[in-house]
Formats: sequence, C-alpha cells, structure tokens
Amino acid sequence: MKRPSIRRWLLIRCGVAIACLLVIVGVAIYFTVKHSMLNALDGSILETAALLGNEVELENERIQFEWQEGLYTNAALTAGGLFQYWDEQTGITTRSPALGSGNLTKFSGTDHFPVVRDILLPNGRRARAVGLRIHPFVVPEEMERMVKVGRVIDPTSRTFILVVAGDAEPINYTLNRLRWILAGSLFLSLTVGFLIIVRVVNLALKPIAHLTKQVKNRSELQVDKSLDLPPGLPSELLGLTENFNLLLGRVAGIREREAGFIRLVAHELRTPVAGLMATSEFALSRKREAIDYEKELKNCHQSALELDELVKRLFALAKLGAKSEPHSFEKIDLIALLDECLRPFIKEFADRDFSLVADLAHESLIILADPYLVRLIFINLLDNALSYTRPEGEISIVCEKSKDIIIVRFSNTTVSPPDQPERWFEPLFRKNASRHDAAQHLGIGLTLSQHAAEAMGWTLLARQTAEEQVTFEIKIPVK
Amino acid sequence: MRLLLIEDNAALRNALGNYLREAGLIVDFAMTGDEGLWAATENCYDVVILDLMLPNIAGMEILAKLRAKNNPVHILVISALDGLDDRLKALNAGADDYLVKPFSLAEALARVRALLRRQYGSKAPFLECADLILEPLSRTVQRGGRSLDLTALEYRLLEYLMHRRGEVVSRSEIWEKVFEDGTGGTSNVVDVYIGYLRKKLNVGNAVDLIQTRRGQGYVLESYNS
Repeated sequence: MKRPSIRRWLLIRCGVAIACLLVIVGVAIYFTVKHSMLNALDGSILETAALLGNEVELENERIQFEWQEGLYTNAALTAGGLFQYWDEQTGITTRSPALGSGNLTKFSGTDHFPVVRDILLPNGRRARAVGLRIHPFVVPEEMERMVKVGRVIDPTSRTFILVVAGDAEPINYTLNRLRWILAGSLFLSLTVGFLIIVRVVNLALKPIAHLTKQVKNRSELQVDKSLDLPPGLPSELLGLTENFNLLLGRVAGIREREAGFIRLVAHELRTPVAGLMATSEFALSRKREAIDYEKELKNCHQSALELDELVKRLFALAKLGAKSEPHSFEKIDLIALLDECLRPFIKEFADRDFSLVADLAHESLIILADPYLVRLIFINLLDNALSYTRPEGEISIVCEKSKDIIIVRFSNTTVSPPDQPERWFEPLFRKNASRHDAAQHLGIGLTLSQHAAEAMGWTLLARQTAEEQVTFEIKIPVK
Repeated sequence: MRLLLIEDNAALRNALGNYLREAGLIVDFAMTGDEGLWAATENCYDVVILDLMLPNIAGMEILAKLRAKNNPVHILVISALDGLDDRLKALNAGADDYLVKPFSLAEALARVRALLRRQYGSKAPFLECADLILEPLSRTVQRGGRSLDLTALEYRLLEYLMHRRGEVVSRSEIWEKVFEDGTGGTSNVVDVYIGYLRKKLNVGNAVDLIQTRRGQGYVLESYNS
C-alpha cells in the first residue's frame, strides 16, 4: 500500500489551493472588466436614448423628428448612431442613417422605463441595445395654436418605440483577449508557484531528512543515544524530537536496567560458581583419602543444588516478566489455600517463638485465580515473615472482604524500622547485599510474588505500618 | 602467618580456608561482616581476605573502618563484582589487592604470599638467613644444602622467624601468629617448639641461628651479623 507522504500532501494541496485562488482571481478580474465595459457601453446608449427620446415633436398636427431637421448640424448625434423609431399608431418606422434598410430588434419597457439587452445588428454583429416607449413633446406655442383652432391632440395618445443600439464587438474582442491573457497568467503563475512550493516544501522537510539521517546512520552501540537538536530545528519538530529523545531515554533506561539485571544475575551466579570451583580445586590440589573426596563432593553437590535453585528462580522471574504463558484460572477457596500454605510454617514460627495471629474472618472465599500463582505469593510472603520477623516477634494474617474487593494482609514485627519498602520488589534486592543464603533468599521472591499478583489482576504492596512493623497487602478485585 | 578470611559463602570459605591451611598458613574464619570487623579489629593478622557483599556489615564498610583506625593489615578483596569501578573503589578505599570470583585457589595463595612478602619487606620468593633457605612455594627448608624435615607447626614457626629475621620476636607474637589457637598470651609451648626447631636446625656443628633474648623473646639472625 502506498504510504501517505507529507511532501505529496503539501504539493497537491498547495497546488490545488493556488490554482483555485488564481482561477477565482482571474474570473473576478474578467467579470469585473466585462461588467465595467458593458456598463460604459450601456451608459453611452442610454444617454443617446435619452437625447433621442426628446427628438420627437408634435408640430402642426404632425410628428417631426428633430434630429432629421438638424441632420447635418447634429452630425455628432447621428453619425454612426444605430437607432430606430416605431410609431405604434401608424406602424411607420424611422431609422438612423447608419442602419440603412436593416431593422433593429423591436423591444421596449413600459412607458419611459428603458430595457437593456443583447441583440444582433442587421449586419450580424453583436450589440447592446436599449428599448423604451416615448411620447412626442408639444411646445407651448403649438398647444396655444391647437386650442385656438379647437383641435387639441393629446401627445400621450401618440406612442413611439425607440431602440438605440451600440456595437459590442470591440468589447467582445477585448474580453476575448483578456481571457487569453488571464489563462496564460494563470498557467504561468501556477507553474512558478508550484516550483516555489516544491522548493519551500523541500526546505521545510529538510530537518526531517536530517533527523532521519541521524537515526539511520547511528550504530548499534548508539541506538538509544539522544538525537542532536540543531539550533535551527523548527518548533514543530522540536516537540517531536524532544519526545523521541525522551523515548530514547526510556529505552536507554530499560537497556541500562537490563544490563544491570544481567550484571546482577552474573554476579549472583559467580559466588556459587566460585564455591564450586574452589571446592573442586581444593579436592584435586593433592592426593586425599576417599572420605575426604566424599566430603568435598558433597560440598560440590550442595553448591550445584544452590546453583540449580538460583537458575530456577531466575528462569521463573524471566517467565513471569515475559508474560508468555497464559495463566489457568479456576475456582479456588482462598482461605483453604492460605491455610494449606500456612500449615508447614506454623511449626517453624513456634520454633522461633513467633506469635501467630490469623484472622481469616470467613470460612471460605471462592475466587477465580491461578492456584499455582496464589501458592507462590502466599509461600513467599510467609517465608519472608519467617526470615525477617524479630526474635519473639508477631506475625499476623488478616483477610477482609468488602463488596468489591478482598484484602489479605501479612504483617510482621521487624528487628529495625523497615528500610526502603518501595525497593523490596526490585529483582535481586535484599535487606543486605550478602549472597550467603542465595538458595533461600535470592532477592526475587517478592519480585516473583508481585509479578504473579499482577498476572492475575491483583496488586501487592508493602508498607511500614508501625515503627518496627511491615505489612504486605494483597488486593484482589471481586469479579 | 595468620590470616582472617571473611566470606559468607560456606563452600568458598571452607575450600579457600582449607587450601590456605594446607599451604602452611593459619586461617581464621568469619561468616558475617560484623564478626569479621570485630576479629580484624581485635586481633593482629598478617592478611585479611575480605568479601565485599557480606551480611550485616558490607565489606567496603569494614575496609573503610579498618583504614580509618590506621589498621595496617594487608587486605585482599575477593568479590563477584568485576567492574572497573568496583575494583577502583575497593583499591582506593585501602585494599591492597583485588581478586574477582571465581578465581583459582593457587592464584589466591600466590597473592596472599605476595602480600606477606610486602608485609615483611621482602621481594624474593624464598627466605634466606646464612646457610638456611626456606622456599614457601615448595614448603621446603635446607641448611647447608641439606633438606630438613619439619612438622607443619615447626615450618610455620621457622617461616615466621625468617620473615622477621634480625628482629626480636616476643613469645606472644609467636603464639599469635604461629599457633592455631592464637589467643591466651604466652606459653611454654613456644619455648618447647623453639627447642624442637633448634635441634633440627643445628645438626652437627652448625651455628645456632636462633638467639634467645632474655625477657624479650627470640631473634633469628645470621652469625655474621
């Protein structure tokens, strides 16, 4: 599938926008000019019509066209003029000399209101014409005379239609040229504009290309190194680059944590391996009795068992962290399972003079959970309490159920105030840095428990609940 | 030569300690940081072998506390931390040497011996006084080209005296540095073993190299000096 391209997007849209703008401007110019030219022509023919409308006189009971009387003196008015009168009573028509025998299109508005329209001249040329109805005028002396003789003629009873035309071909020619000029200008502007847009888009996208080059050219060792922020980096890219650098920072952090974890794992493995190597080297350093070899072999075996336990726990940690295997949920009785996990610890608690308070509140609590993970959590928390409760201290287990949630709390009194409880769930974190009891306290029991809780949608937190008391709280949502 | 081994891993502690013992050194053990600090402070050791990650008190803290008290004991750090920073940190805090786990016991012994030589201002891999030669590597002693057969304790006694040749060594110092149970102060046992040693060294007309300084102790010195 073709990927969207910012360059293409900008070029197409900017090109279309500029083309539309140029077309609109061109059309506006064309119609403005056309309108202006036609207005001038219409004004001219209207002025002529106004003059010619007053050239019809009722004199001696006859109609006189005064422009004919001064045909030679009014040459300016009639020369080249295209107009025609129609007497509506007699049907007699009178043309301007320029029309020859040809007729103009006959039309008019009502009374003295003129109507303007496009017409074709007798010679086939396009023209603008104004048509109006007019009445002859009567001078006062003629009116007195008609009154004297007793034959008064009402001038409004005589109606003429006057059509005055103006040749529009020069305007059409000019407009036609204007169209070509505008089209050429449009094409030229579009071409130049497009080239400018291409250049501007390329310049605008250059920082992206620069950043892409930075990302592309970095070696594997620099994968999580922050991108350089050149001083000229556009503000639009600054946010993206800064966020990308933040992301790279997080990747670097993860890589560092992974490297740290691997280093810790290597370190964890080194001590038992050193024990194994030292024991075997000591055994082989000289000839010994069989019983001595047996003793050293037993030591080697013990070291191998510790190593095996270590590897198993690390593998379990990796497996939980990867969340690669789906967990099998089934109905379990939480109280019964807790009781089952607690039973082997009761004697050990008693041996160390710990007092145990178990307030489980319910006979049974049926929930959906993975029994393997639940056992893992309970055993780790009980083992933790066994190891870190102060001599003759107290261990309490409380289980509460409300409408939405079940809370199980494991509390124990400690030798000293709990330190850094927020770090207790970090892999390989231990109260002290010793690896002397790596098989029992590798420092991943709580990490495993938290991962197991999260895998089932539970939460497991630790907090100091008294000066020398720590409480682990498991929150189980009721589904 | 008395060493203190502070290591919490039982397998490593036992193997290294027994290996050093078989090499003729006296080794005391400490399993935790607090035990180790107490032992190093209260006793006079030639070398302390110190793990860094210890229960209760960390090795770096022990190192810092000993040096803060101007304790001159030579300290060999053994640790699983192999980073340059870790090594520099320990050496700059006053460690004399640093060995990364896992290591060969033979190398650990060689480094301990090197520290012992530094402790007594010697560079040569063998100890010599007149016609008496002691080779720690092979644990052999010769006088005038003739091999001497010494018990482990006699060997340790002679090695200690040879390390401190020309110096008057008190009975209590010998007791502390040579005998397994180094506590309790003076004992006639020291005189008895000096006597055993003299008998084995002074075969024939050989000059007695071990001189008794009344009320002070013993001194091993060449008859020319």
